Amino acid sequence: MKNMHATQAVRGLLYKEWIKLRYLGLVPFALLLVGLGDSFYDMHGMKSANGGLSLWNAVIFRSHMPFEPMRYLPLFSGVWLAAVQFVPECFNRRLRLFFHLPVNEHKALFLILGLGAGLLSALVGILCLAQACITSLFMPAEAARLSILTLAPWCLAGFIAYAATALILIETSPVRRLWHGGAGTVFVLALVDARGYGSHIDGLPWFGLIAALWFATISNVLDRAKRGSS
Amino acid sequence: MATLVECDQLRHSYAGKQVLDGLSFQVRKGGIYGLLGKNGAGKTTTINILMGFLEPSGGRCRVLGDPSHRLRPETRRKIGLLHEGFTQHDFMTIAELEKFYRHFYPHWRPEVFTQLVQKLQVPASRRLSRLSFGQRSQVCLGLVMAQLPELMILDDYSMGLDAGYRRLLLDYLHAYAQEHGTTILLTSHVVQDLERLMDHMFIIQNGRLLYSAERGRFFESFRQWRFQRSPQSDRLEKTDVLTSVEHIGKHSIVCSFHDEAQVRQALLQKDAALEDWQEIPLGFEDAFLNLTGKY
Repeated sequence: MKNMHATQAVRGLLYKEWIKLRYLGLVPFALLLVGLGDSFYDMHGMKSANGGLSLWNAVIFRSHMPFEPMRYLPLFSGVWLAAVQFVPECFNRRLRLFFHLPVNEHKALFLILGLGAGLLSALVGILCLAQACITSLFMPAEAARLSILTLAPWCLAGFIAYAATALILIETSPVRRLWHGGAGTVFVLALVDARGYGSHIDGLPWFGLIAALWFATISNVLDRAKRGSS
Repeated sequence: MATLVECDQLRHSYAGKQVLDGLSFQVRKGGIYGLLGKNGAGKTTTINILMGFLEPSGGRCRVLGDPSHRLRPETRRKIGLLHEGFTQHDFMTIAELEKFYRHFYPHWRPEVFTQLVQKLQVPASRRLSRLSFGQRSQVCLGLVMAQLPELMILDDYSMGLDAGYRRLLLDYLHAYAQEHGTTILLTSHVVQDLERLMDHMFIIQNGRLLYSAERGRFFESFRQWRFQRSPQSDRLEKTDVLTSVEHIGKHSIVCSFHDEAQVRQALLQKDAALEDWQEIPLGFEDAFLNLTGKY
């Protein structure tokens, strides 16, 4: 009986997320398509106009990144998805509706976060895979691998931005909101501001750990929001 | 009879201001209970504590056997809560709200919701954000009723509603409580509609229980008299016998829970001349205001 209730509750929560994300959740994917198209035509154009040597020259000696417009895409997507999911939950005391649902609020929160992070994972997965394919059309496999390693910190920035935005929206104290926003900005800028191919590769596991900590913190903030939501 | 809500010596303060100051009351199974008080009396804080949105700084509060700040999901499933201001997910349509909430309540009765919402004559595909406040109140009430809860809590149900929608809401509630035996606890600062509805009332003031009574007992025991105003009567103040004293035009008006003889004796002891003495029938709102004060 308990399992049946839990299954139904999960369906209910997924249904609500579907309503929130069904249209607005597509925006980052639409931007991804545009970005990938731009990357393809950049490399294709350079090779067609000036030959393969010119493309190699730009990439190796001038650190030209055909996928440069994608630098801020995971970051924007993280903020966007968190806002789409949590703004309708958190404003005008609506968090109380969430707290009154007959489900464990922490499990429900991680279901919502899991869904958002899953969508973001799908987006960065497509981004890395498609960019590697595009690069390998014009350059050897090593260059494709390097493009993925270059994209990785930007993708990680997207997850930190997602968690930080969720945290800011759930948080009830303005001072703490500022703190979360400031700390999130520092980490995200450190990751997306990297110049050149393969930056931050050595530090990626640490940044990954930081991203996980951001997610873990949300549970505590939810507790505080519940105890003090007035 | 089982006790569904038990508050004992509840205390809470915001930024040093004591909002609840030893509030105690019990809600037993069956009937409609009103938690009444003027603005700032502590009603919403009490509901926030009952629903676990606030942890009281002192005292004890249990709802359906659980400490109010640690309500289990199984317990929350038995409580239908109408949030103050009819807070609900605005981004959903009427149909989507019904579909969403039915997943969480095993005794969900879609026909209860549909019957109520059909009267609005708006399509189920209409978003909640596009409904008027009155229409929104019906949708929110329908969502709570369809849960078939054991305990229904309505936080300031009257806020923002005109007389028509307030009456409609109360008529539905009354019929629903009779049909399903649901225990209802409601708060409101608009009391004139509640006279016929409530079985029991708690009147709170300054965070304390001022008065608690079954329906009818209030009017049997709380009465009002008027007499000719005089310099002596102008000096009258509230006492244990005189619950309220007021002077309007040429008359002084007193209210009391004591019988007429005791009131007259208390007034005569203060040298008040009781010329033109007569009892004035009290309406519920007048009685409420005389008890809690107009200011």
